[in-house]
Amino acid sequence: MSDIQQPLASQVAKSNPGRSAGKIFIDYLSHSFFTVMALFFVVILIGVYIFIGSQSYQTFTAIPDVSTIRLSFFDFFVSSKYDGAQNFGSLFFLEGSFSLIVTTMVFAVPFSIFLAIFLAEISPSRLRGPLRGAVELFLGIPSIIFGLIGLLVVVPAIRDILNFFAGGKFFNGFGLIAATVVVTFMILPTITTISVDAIQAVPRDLREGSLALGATRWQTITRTVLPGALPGILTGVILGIARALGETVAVAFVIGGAFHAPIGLTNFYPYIYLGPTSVMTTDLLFNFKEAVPPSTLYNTLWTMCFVLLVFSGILVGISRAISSRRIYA
Amino acid sequence: MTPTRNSHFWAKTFSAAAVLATVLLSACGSSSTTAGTSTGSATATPSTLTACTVTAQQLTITAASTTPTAPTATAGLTGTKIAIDGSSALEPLFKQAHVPFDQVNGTVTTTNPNGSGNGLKDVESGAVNIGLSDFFYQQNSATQGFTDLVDHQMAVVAFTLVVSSDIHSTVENLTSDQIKGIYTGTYTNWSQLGGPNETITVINRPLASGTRATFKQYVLGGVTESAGQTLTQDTTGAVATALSTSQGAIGYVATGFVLQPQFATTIFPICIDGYGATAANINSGNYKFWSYEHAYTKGAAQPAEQALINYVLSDTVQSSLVPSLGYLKVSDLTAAAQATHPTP
Repeated sequence: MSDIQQPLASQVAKSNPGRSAGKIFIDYLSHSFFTVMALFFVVILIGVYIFIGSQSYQTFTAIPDVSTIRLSFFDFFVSSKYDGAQNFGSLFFLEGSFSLIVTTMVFAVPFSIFLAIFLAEISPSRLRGPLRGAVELFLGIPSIIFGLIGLLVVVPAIRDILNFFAGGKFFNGFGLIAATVVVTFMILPTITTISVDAIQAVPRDLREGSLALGATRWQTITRTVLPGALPGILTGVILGIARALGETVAVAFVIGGAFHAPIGLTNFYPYIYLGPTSVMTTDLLFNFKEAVPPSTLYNTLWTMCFVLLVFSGILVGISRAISSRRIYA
Repeated sequence: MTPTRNSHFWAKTFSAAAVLATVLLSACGSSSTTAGTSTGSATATPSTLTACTVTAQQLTITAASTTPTAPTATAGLTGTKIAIDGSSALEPLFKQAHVPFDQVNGTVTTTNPNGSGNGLKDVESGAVNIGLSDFFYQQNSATQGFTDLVDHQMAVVAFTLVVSSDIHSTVENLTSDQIKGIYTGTYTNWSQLGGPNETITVINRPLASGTRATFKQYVLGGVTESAGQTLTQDTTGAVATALSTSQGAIGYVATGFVLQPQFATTIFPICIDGYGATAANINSGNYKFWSYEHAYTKGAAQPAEQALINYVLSDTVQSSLVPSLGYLKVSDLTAAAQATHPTP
């Protein structure tokens, strides 16, 4: 594909002397229009980074006065002491987002890869169409619907299960577990559909070769098809991570929004805190609307924005690096 | 593909599913055993929890009618634009009142409920004509320098503490000290206050919320809430919804919310220091959890702004829209009530 050069309008004009001047003009016009649009897009992207970056930097450079205090990097990124007035240690927001990604991936990745293998390789063709349709329908459900179902079904269910094991009314159900359940279901179809495409893109010759050499169908799937589809599957996983990182509305319904780290540490072992906690996006959602500049809260929210932006940029970079690799050249 | 091969793979699929289910179950089991359970130690406090009872019906504010009569036209306002931004608690009043006002005067009024802080900021910068706020501009460190703003007090909004349905018969009244203890994390179980052995689920509003500022000033006495344990809900509606699905939960909402039919059996108002959020208790100065709803203009109000403010303060709006939207009248407040909310 890439080794075929598309002829430029000027070359077409030379080689096709019969073309009218008007058509060539439109050709030139559209060519420059699309170029400008593409450049415009890049300019906007750079602008977003510069704008949010400069806003976020104020957290560390603000001149202290009645409404603003200046924070050090240590105060903001390493501390978890937060009260929204004097202390803005935001480490636990980062911990929250990363814990949510890890717990979500633990459930979503195996499940969606199994589902993808079933859809692409095992499922009888009669079942394949409807199942694929169901997964894609799932993909289109707006996140607020996941949030409402989470609030009205998942949270009470988790509360009752935890209270049953704890033997009393100790839990309210909000927190990391509820968020994990909701986000797992949200990103399942993302990873599944991309994985199905990746598995189906593995050349048929390879499967037939494997089967002809005497491999069972399971051996063919695990040792020939899955390795070939791995870059595609990993791209799906990275996009799933990006969605888990950026998901706001559905998580805000069920995470609880407390200023509490999701991972605790006893003297001997770390444990998952089962009460309400926070992630970066819910902090922004809850507090940005009424935060007024100039204030430290307002500055730190921009810093959080920038952290989110950088992480999502890194994830996109990783997914591009992975998807450009080919196992079977 | 032969039938025999197919049956093999079904067997394998099911075994894989079984493995997955086992993994899922064991993961669930282990996470719940590592729970940091908070256990309540029962202290023998003499119970004041049922010393006072208030029902949603007692908070009802009766309105003579729901539609105000149109104002008389003020000359020379045709075509004037009035932009309003600010408190989502006061915006409904202006949103409804500006319709007959615009029809008569030919003005064009737009309202945007972006929060009290943004309302103050926008009127100070000249981006809007009127900024709506739940608090005096002097009460917020980001807005306290806006000394050229002129205050117009349009209405009073009463707030009430509410609890979830499972504890409403045992927790009907809390003292100020008990509320401070709950919101600062001293009390984590209702049994510490003489109630049932249930963890207290505390529901708070976002940091910069005007309602939260009112709660902090007039109920908590300026004490900073504990950061760790409380649930945060975005809006008053979300607080009410979270309360309706929670157990042992406490939160605060504008009184208008407990009157809504969908919350009639799920959230219940309680008393503070023996007084419910009734108009009588507010006007007598015994119940302090309310706030003035302010409309600020930059300097003295321009003719169009003044005409709209005068219309909202007129008898017809104050006796129709104000009560029907759940506000109390500023003019009803006694000196005792005003003394609890002095201008800073």
